[in-house]
Amino acid sequence: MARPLFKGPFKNPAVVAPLIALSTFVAIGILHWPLPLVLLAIVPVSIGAAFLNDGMRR
Amino acid sequence: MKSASGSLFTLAAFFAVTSLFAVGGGNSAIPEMHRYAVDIQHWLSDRQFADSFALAQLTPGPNLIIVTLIGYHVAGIAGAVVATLAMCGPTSVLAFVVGRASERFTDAAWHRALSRGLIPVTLGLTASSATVIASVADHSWVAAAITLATACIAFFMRVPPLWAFAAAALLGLAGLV
Repeated sequence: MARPLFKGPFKNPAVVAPLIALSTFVAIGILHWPLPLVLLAIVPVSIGAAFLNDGMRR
Repeated sequence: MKSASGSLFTLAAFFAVTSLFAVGGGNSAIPEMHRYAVDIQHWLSDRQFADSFALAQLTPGPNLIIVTLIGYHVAGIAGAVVATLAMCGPTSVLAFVVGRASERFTDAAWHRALSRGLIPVTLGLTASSATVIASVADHSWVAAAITLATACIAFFMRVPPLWAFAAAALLGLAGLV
């Protein structure tokens, strides 16, 4: 039986998506960190979370 | 002092790279443009950056006119052309390639994850752009109040944003901003 590898916050997109949006906002809008570096870190995490979440819903 | 060709190369390199990270559209890259053009290169002051943004929003056509204005400020007509081409060229090619591939993989799990995963990042970048622009443009309580009122009108009411532009322009003409 396939079971999700990750639990916790990854289970709930209502938690993960706002966290990612907030992290992006803080890093770019408040801390003024370089856009490429921030996106290179956040985008894979965001896509990975969406992928895991999609897999768990199936 | 940089040579003209050096400035053009710097413009081209910066906007070509930045365009590839403008997730959600050109306005998502506003914080990066401000960081680089104002804080690092000192090409523009905060005021000039805010004015360029306002002009880009008011003029018909794409929002990316701010890129053209920054380029013009740095190196005249040549700078405007180079900055615009650097911002639009790589992303146009990328959009063409990705668009074609995207049609074939609409039902793929990675395609759905890619679409869903980029949404919260885009939201964060949009909020960042709004914050950066507000921080450089609002130097009085009237300006801050106009920003807040416009945000509330846009969020809670179905009023075309042009009315907010008109009201703010009138306040500006009256010397209140």
